[in-house]
Amino acid sequence: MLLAFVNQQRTAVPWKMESLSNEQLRTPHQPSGMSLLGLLKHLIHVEETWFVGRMLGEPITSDPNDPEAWTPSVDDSLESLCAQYLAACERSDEIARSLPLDQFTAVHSRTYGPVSLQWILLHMIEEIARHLGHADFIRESIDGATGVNPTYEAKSRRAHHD
Amino acid sequence: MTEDTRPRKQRVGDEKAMLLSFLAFQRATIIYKCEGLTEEQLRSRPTASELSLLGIVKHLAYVERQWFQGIMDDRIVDIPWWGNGSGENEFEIGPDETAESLLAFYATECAISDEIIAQYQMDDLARWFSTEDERESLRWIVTHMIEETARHCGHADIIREAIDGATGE
Repeated sequence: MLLAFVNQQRTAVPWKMESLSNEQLRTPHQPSGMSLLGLLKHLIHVEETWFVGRMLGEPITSDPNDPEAWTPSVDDSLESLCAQYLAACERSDEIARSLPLDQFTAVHSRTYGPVSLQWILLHMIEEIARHLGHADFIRESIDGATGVNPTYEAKSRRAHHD
Repeated sequence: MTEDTRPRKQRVGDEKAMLLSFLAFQRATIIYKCEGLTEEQLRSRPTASELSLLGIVKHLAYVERQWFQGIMDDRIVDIPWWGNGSGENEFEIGPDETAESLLAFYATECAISDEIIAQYQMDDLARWFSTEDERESLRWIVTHMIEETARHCGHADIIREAIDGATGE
């Protein structure tokens, strides 16, 4: 069940970025300086860090606390970052399905110490949800669009039509 | 921001205790984001959104009430957006409402939620259900409250930063 919650959160991330221009996706939002593409990049690093880096203990190339990780490069586009995000989420999913919930991290987080897969899944729910909250406000400031996630919005549309 | 006295998220222990510690952390983060601000700042809507920090507090108090009192425990409660509810926009702060009264309202609703949570097992199904929907388990409801509160913490992050520049997880 936890994984289903994580996946619902993940689905909302690219959805929040649909139908925007490259410039809108890259514009740093004030006062935080966060952009939607930067946020997407950060979430790719978060997936890799928790599942590949910490759960499996395999080397990873990214550091989510590196300020660079929040800045899209000239080569990054919504398409390329979404592909990377989906690949990272699939990998995380595979890792999560292959291990018991009480399995502890191979490499521990400096902040949290050793944590179980169950803890990581809960943390992913709160982490992605929190960043989606940031994305909500950035998106609303760009074009006024709001909404929780595609499933929820489809349901409310149906309810509205009934 | 003021000193961080939020409860820690539990790393070990049973499932229920772990989930509740995450929920407690998210609720405390909402309060933390409101600390050290004036009444006027707490009511202000400094972003493109209609939300204020107090609007979020009031909304979340009703969301707690809806899920735990209304749905899990099938009590008759006033929820503005329900069919028989007041229809009030719960994000709007009325002239008689204050930061103190709304934070107390949120604390009360959270305390009642905790009492209800203590009475059930994680697999227990909500006592209220509509015919077309499946009933949610307590586990589902607690997990949903974590994601819902965390999403609003993200909103609170940006409102707070717009008010006085304060940031922090």
